Amino acid sequence: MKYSRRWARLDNAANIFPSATSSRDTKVFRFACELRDEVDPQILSRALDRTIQQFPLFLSVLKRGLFWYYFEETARRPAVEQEHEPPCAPIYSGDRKNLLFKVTYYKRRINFEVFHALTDGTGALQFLRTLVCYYIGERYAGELDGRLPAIDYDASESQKSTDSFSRYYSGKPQGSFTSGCKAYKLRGDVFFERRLSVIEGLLSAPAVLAEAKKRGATLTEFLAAVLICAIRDTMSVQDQQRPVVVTVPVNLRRFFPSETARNFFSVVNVSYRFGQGDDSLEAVLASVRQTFQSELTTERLRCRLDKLGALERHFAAKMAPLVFKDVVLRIASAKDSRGVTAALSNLGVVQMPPEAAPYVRMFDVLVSTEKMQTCLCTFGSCLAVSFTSPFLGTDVQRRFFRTLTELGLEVEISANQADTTEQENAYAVL
Amino acid sequence: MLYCKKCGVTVTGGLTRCPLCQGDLSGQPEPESEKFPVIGAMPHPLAGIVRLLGFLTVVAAAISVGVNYAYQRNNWWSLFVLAGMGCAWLSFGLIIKKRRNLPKTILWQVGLISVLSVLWDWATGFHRWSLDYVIPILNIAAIVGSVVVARVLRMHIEDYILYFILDCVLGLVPLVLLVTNQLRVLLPALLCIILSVVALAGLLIFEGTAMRAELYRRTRL
Repeated sequence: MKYSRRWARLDNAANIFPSATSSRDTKVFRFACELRDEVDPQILSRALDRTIQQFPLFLSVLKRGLFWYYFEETARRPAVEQEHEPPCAPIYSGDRKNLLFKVTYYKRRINFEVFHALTDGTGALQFLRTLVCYYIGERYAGELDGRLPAIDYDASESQKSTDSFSRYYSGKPQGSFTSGCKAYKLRGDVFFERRLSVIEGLLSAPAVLAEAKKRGATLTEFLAAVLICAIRDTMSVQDQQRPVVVTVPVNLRRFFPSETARNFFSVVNVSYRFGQGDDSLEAVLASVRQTFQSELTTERLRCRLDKLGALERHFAAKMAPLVFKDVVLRIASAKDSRGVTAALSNLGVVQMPPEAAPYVRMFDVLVSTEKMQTCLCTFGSCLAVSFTSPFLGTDVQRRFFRTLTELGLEVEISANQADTTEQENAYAVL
Repeated sequence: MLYCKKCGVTVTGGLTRCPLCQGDLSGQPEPESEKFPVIGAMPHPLAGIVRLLGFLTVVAAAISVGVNYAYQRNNWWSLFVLAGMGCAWLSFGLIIKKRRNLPKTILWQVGLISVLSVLWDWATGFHRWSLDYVIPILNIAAIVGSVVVARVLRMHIEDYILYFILDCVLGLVPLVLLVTNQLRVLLPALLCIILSVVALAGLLIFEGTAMRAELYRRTRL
């Protein structure tokens, strides 16, 4: 039998994910596309076969070395399945050598679920867009009349597989970023089997953007402020001793040119301490904008990139066996997560070729979390705001969407229906 | 389309209550616009058998200690029963945990059972049956078993080569025992050493590239 040729190191951001994966937080995220018609699994399967040829690194399994995890090329091939697991179910498990992504479908939706070590939102989106374009090209070949939707993702195989963290690591880490104090923590009863509750709101992108512009803010800043205020309403007076911290992932490709389909992101933490004067949405928004302006600069992001790069290249870190690294990284990740209340991730505007766009209704993103994760994704005039959380309580989501409806915005809510009998059985045992 | 008056939102699918405020919804449910399937409980496939065995273990332990206490207080044989069940659970737990990776399971079982058998031997007067018989026979079974598993399951070489190398290296432990004069019975140990040397040589000669690549990947800094 032939021994596989390719293997690759994990990029800097990916290193943490295998160690930090647990049944509470599977480090899996889902990028989904909702079409106008029901999905045809056979055509989807053929589209997947064509797509995967363009993303060679995605045909990898994750293996443990003595010192580091690594990706290894595999002969396994993905298969399309009807959705039969809860969103963001575990993908990586140390003893099961499987591909690190799944493609499923349900009614009109195509779901692409992936383990975060393999790629970030941008890489996953490139994959899903390619998949959907191939699918539409074949499914509606008659209507399209030979015009194949062309994907505007222009990157060679090696560009897609580049480790951009290494590429932009200067080797001269300077300055420091201080780790914050403990943040307010959302609490509550959780779903059975630690499942995620999904509540998704579909809004008109231009209308929300207009509200943001009215306040001189960007969409992300505006919705981050609304989220912080929604969290405030669940806090007791005592809770207000701790700040509400929302962590916002930043796509580094915007600051450091790269076409990689692997991880290339950083994060900015937005913090607000309530009970010290003005707690209005306007005051929170002003603070959020200030943080974004000071943190979202090439210098600040480079500083963080260099610092994390230096950590990985440190002699002691290299020499420590993986068993030891696993423990340290798990502790570091737990410590890091104590400083965060929730996360808000804006995946930006999804572009589809004009031939394919009429067949697509929307795109949305769900991320596994043990806290609360909000994802924004825009396609055409559809802004999908998706909340995932392990908690049964929906106070934050309710206040968030009510703030928006009170501004006169129309919201269409979708949720994953909990099997209520199962939940009651789970409680009966407790 | 469904509508929640209190939240002022429309709701898709066939929900009976508002996902935000759990209040009543007005309007027509549209189950066909459902975005997520309803998924029932997904219990661990082995949860039932593990619970049953766990319960039976406790029953057996309680009865043996009770009987021992009632009739033979000068001979604590029930401690051996408890230790035996403890060892069985260690081995069983490891099998359950690693069950998806058979070559790894084989390797771990060889290591665990070797150590446990030496401990038992030592605790019962060190007649060296663990060194003479258990360790060599276990290693022979592991090497043969790995080859069979890999063939039957048509495994890819990169999925088992590391474990096979380690199986062969463990198979050389009887050589150390032989050289240091620890053995009383030679035949099983000799068979084990010969098999390990042959298997290692075969690997080096026929799969040398794969072996070096695997070791390089696994140990790079």
